Amino acid sequence: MKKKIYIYGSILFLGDFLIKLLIKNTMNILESITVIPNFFSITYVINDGAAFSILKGKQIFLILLASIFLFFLIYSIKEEKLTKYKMIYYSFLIGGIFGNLVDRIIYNGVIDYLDFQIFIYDAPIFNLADIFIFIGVVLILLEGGEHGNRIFRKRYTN
Amino acid sequence: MEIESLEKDIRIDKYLSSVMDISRSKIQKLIKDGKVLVNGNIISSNYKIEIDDKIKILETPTNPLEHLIPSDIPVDVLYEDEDLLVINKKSGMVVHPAPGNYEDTLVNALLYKYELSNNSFRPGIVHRLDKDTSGLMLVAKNDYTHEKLSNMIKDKVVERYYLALVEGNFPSEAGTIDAPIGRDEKNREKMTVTSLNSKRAITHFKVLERFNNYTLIECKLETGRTHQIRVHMKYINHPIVNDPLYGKIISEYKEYGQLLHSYKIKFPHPRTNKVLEFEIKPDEKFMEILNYIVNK
Repeated sequence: MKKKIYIYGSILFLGDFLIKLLIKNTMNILESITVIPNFFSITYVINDGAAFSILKGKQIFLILLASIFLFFLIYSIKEEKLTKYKMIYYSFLIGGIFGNLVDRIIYNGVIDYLDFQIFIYDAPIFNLADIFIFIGVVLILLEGGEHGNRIFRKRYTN
Repeated sequence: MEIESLEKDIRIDKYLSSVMDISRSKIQKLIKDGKVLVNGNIISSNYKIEIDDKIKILETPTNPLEHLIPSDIPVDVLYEDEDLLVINKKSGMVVHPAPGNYEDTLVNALLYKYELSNNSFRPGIVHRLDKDTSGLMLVAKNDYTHEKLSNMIKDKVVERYYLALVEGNFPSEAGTIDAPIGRDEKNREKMTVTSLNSKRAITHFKVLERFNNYTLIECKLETGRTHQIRVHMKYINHPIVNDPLYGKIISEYKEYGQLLHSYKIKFPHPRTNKVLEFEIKPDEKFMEILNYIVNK
């Protein structure tokens, strides 16, 4: 079961990695390809995290942060009793975080390309790994909600 | 006077104040006195306008349209059809009339030769470039195009690329600045990265050429805040060269202003949907200053 998390995580990572590789080798940075007019384009940008420019050596900081989080995840997977539900979100988190971490190490920034117009107003360009992380986090929050409900019920129905 | 609204979900006092260049408090007074009618009804200042609202102003302190005198100033037009113009704005030219400058702006120059969309107080203008920023700009010739282009710019369908010469060297070949921009409380003429009354702003850039201590970059905007590139570049400690507000001025060329040029624009034509793309090099002065500073 625990092995499966790493297998699924690797598949997700590989999917994200190969798409990024394709974008990097076929497009110029800042170039846009319209997929659905007025709604969705593929735009190749590199996000180096300059929003945090106050932090010196920010790439190293962000790489460290992601690494610590990955170690924490691996530790949790080792220690926790896993359900199928947990397995799903651990796979998404491992695949997503690893996907963006590898970018930071080899490209000095994250390759982003999903560019929506109108739909998500003010949303920046993002990538598949971001979606994986988002799904993982949402699943954890939903689980927490359910878990919380159970405790609540126990306490107040007894 | 009567105007038809082209935008929506904006407070009427804010909207009128921006299109008429009159202070918001003056507009609020007019509204309170019942001098502003929307579709024939008296409204309050917090009324949010809808597209095509007919706004009638019964009494105006000054009529800004009277100031729109056509002036015979040359404009570099790259493309023209019955709907729009693509122009190359010169560095130093103000885009539209404002108090203190009613005669020699781009709008005055365009009015001399062209029919422009006329339902706003800034005929034809769907987006702006700062006074000292040069390069490509779209101009609407009729109301239909004006509305379409405004929405396309808001929805990021119009792609605009800029060239900028900035100070310092970049560690990476490309990057993204995602930092909110609002008015600088210490100096109201300036904008700054701040969490107070600010809006999200995103700038992507890539390095085109590295010089000793200077870098030529290309920028693409995801948002269009006032002075966005200038503020963002200052924020990451690479201010644009010769920027009088946010960087260091080269005394020999202080008249020219920041080395920022809108060099490429790509958009689907609002009527035919055919994708149009234009590119224009920076002017000779830009290149002269670039050569001067990188060889110093």
